[in-house]
Amino acid sequence: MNRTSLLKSLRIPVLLLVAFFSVASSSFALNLAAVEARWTPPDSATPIRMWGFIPDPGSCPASPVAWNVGPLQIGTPGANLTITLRNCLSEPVSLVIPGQNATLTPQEITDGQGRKRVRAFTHEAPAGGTASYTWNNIKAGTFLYQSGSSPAKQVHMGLYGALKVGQYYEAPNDVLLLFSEIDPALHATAAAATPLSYRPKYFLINGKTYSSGQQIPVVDGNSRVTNNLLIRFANAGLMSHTPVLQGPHMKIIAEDGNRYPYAREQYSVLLAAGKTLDAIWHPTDSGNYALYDRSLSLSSNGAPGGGMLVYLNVRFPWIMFIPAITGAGR
Amino acid sequence: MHMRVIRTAFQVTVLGAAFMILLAVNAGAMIDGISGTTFNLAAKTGHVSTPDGGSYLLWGYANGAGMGMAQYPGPTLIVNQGATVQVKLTNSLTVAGGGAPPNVSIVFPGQRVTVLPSDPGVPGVLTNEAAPGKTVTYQFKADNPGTYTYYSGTDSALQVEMGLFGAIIVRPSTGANYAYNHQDTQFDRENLFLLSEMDPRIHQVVENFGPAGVAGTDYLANYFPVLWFINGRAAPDTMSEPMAPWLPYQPYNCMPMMHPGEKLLMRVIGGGRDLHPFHHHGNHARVIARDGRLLESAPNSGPDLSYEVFTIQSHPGSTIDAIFEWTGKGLGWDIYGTTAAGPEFAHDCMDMDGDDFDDMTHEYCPDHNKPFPVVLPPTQELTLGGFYSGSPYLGLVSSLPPGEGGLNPNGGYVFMWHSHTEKEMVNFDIFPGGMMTMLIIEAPGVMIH
Repeated sequence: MNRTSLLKSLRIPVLLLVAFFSVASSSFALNLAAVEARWTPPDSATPIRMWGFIPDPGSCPASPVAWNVGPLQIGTPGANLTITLRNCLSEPVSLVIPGQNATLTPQEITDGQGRKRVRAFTHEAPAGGTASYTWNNIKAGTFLYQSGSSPAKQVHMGLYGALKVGQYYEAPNDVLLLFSEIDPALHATAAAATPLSYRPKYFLINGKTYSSGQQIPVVDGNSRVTNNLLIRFANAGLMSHTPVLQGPHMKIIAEDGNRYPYAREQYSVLLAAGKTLDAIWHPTDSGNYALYDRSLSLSSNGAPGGGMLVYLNVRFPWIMFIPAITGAGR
Repeated sequence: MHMRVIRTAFQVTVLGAAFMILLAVNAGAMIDGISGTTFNLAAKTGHVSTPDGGSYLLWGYANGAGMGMAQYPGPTLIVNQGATVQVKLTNSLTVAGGGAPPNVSIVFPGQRVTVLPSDPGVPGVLTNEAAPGKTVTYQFKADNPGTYTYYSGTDSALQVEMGLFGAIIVRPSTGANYAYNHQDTQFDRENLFLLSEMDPRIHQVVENFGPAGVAGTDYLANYFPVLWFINGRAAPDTMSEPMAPWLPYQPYNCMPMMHPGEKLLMRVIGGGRDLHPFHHHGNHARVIARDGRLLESAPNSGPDLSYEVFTIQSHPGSTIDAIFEWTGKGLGWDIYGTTAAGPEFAHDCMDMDGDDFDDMTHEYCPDHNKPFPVVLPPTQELTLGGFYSGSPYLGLVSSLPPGEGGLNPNGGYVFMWHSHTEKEMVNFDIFPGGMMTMLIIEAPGVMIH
């Protein structure tokens, strides 16, 4: 997962006993680009065509980039967030963040029978152009950002990423697990997913299947105060998944950016399409803790042994997050 | 508190006393399973029978490496809180075509599991595994009471589908008729609802070509089940007796039965890979726990965060405990009949403790002697179902035409309990079947076993 460091200087110190430290009326700006991209599945050298969000390089890339989920955006509660989007695709693109307030201006088209139909939830960046999006007084929690244009097509093509706003006082360290799927049949010529046509073959966490074997540290441990780890779940796919943390229980504390009045202690959780959940886990032993989809999206292109599986690798005094390595779990 | 005795006729209280004795004898119908602290399981092959005549290759956990047969689902392991539990797994799988069988394993969500150093097996993706012909022994301490599940952690997408899953019940130290260590979790009866589904294509490929054949298909991703099960049986087999000899690989049934006023603990487990909204007709149920944890706002507060539902939202790998009660309250008529219907229906509603219910029959006293609000058509104008007793009154069996009835010999009330994804109430497109059973409310005094 790519991390933007754009806002690191704005990150606030952790204040114990303050759930979310609010910075009044600050604002910050980010720049993204929607680009042609390619993702090479583990079982094939033939890349799959994707569309992706990347940090805006200032101009459109000359050739497709390696696809990943959009860069993690980090926001401050109460601030105003502005994202400028450069569209390097050949059709209009827009940006929405479900759960954050913005003034939306739906874009309509007239279909072949003269009917007005909504193509986009809000204003768009035309092909080759840019558009700017602002969310005022953003709310704390974990959110998905994704294309608001022809979403049945553009979202599953890869135009999604995550936004995290603020920190929980109980758990200054966090990992983000962004679930999604790829149905290659709808990608060579980008096509809308329908209930009958959508048959995903690849199941990803943070843009990777289990068998891809890469290690990506997400938590550096520098700000570690307690042993609690916040797991931010987000599902940008079109199917429901049920992550299980193998062994321990988690405390599910928030859903769609809304804090529960009481934590829910579970080892499994239903992560519906489009949903985010925040969970706190207090690891007590070092080791590799498997976290996987109990809906058994544990295959790659039909072959067993891939899919939605990562390890939370705990090594006291540090907590590291290492997806997709083999070895004894528990 | 108010006391009330509603007297309809000169009364035979001896009957009530007889009820009470029978109720005391009947308490505590428990879930079938194997109890102890040390379990010997073996992964073996067998065949799952479905009511439409189907037979599908099973990989199941068997009770015992010797004579035990593969089970769908695996044996329900019943342990006591605080016990150190050892589960020894032997890999006795065989596969088609003479290829090497796969490794197998067990994961225990919600438990802190170690492997015995003397029998560690071999490392796998989620846990240590038993190689073909070999063993591995897992150990955990059952610190927390509740309902749990276990399943294969090896190629789970394939092996769970093939049948390698089961249930675990941890009895609390408070007592076997409690779900957790709190008085509000007390129950009179309990039933397991281990929900699963099956895509026969996968089983046929494995039977004909071995597990390697699955990789040549997209079945694990493009999953399309057509069979649905409760405790490993599809309806109407769910209602047959446990250990039925014609279902040798599916020993567990699912036949919830209770008397009015009793508490029935539903232990609902998502054993497969799909969501199964489990809809229980008759009344709401109170969800008291998820994943083996009481829904409590603070330790020892009891299930104060519990909530009522009429469809239990079961998701894969999760467990839900819910308490179901039924009394007939709210029907607006007397389930034991009225004197207007005949002198033989004369009975009291004796509410000595002021809870609005008869203290023995749990009749809802405010509805006492209120008439059944429907004029029943003549029998020859009815299409009769096998569960109709011939009478609308609880515990009464009335005359039926020859060949009718017969499934409800004690005149109970019958409620269908089923997946609310209604397409799952079939056996390969044949309705009714699948993820469905019946709850039977039996009259007080009827023996339930």
